[in-house]
Amino acid sequence: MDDDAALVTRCLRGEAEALRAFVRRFERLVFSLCYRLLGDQHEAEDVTQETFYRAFRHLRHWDARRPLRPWLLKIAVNRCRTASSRRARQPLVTEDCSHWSVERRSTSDLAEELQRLIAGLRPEYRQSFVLFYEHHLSLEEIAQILDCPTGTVKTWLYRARRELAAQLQQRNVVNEEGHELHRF
Amino acid sequence: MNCTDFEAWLLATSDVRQRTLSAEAEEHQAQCAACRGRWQAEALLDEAIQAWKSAPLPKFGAATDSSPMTARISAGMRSPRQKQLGWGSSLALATACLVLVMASWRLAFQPEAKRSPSVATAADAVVPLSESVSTLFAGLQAAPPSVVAEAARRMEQLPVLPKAAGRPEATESTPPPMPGTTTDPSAVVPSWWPLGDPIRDKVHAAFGFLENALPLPLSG
Repeated sequence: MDDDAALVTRCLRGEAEALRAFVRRFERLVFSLCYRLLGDQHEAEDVTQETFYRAFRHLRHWDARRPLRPWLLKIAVNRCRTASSRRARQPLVTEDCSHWSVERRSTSDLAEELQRLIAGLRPEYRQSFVLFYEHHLSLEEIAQILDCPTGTVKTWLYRARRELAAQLQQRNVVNEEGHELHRF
Repeated sequence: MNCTDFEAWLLATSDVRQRTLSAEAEEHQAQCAACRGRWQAEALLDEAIQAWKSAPLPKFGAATDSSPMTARISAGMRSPRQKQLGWGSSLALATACLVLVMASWRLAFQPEAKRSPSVATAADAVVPLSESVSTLFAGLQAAPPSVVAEAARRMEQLPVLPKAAGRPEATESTPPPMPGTTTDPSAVVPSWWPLGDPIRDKVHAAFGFLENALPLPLSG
């Protein structure tokens, strides 16, 4: 955190190398969040750049007593919200997979399918889920980023899990051992 | 534990990343097929989450172009010094625009007299005094104050002369020729003509015989 504060101080002094170091340090973090939330690589890259622009513009407003990572992720989440509202007419889930037959799936297939299902979640469920499982943030940190109570985040996480599990079950997805999930 | 309790337990442990069944929950799902299926779905979801987290993400910047993303982002950034220069140049440009607008506004709304001083000087030009008045003025300049006062008193007592009768000067009253009308002096409206319309040649030819009968000439 002290290292982050020192880097921010150098950025505020206008050092070009510090700006580059800032981007290098956090680009993966921001891009992975944007990609998980938006589900599109091009759009995620655009939003990642917007996030850094916005972050640099407001860098002097960052409270050095607080960790930098959630502050940056909050900007990224807000940028993703804006990007999602821009393409509100285009639903995130573009492929109907309900007709897929039961088959043995590899790990990568499972990951791909989960990413597809995550993209179809409600935005607040999706944001909570990604921040919790991808970025390992605590409920309190997620609540700060999403501007809501901690209990709400917990409920959103629970509902996100329930929806995802139900959809995996509906599609009769089987795991690597070939154990098919049956509807009950 | 019943099914509702089992669901409540799932909600309560939703913030646990790697949860395991409690003794009560395990006992219930062993007896309840629905909750057992629910738990299996949760277990598969956990497996999918692990696969999802370990799946490689696309490389940042690979989708746009080959230049490094960090270079492109930081190239768009401006240092505080550059920002100050940017603000300064913007302020100077805005001031210049304001000055231009004010100058053009003043030019547009300036009174006519100020814009064409030659008209004013022509109007204020000194009219040469007549010989008698200049002689009188020269005499008054040399005379003592009492004589001057007496002369002024007498001048005030002079009767006001009526305005000069008769035809005014044609050059002062003649309007400029209208488009399509002739510039022939005989066709120009005489100052005494009551209607003010120009007399065309045909009218003049028709009523020209009156010219000898009337005391005043028809043409100015």
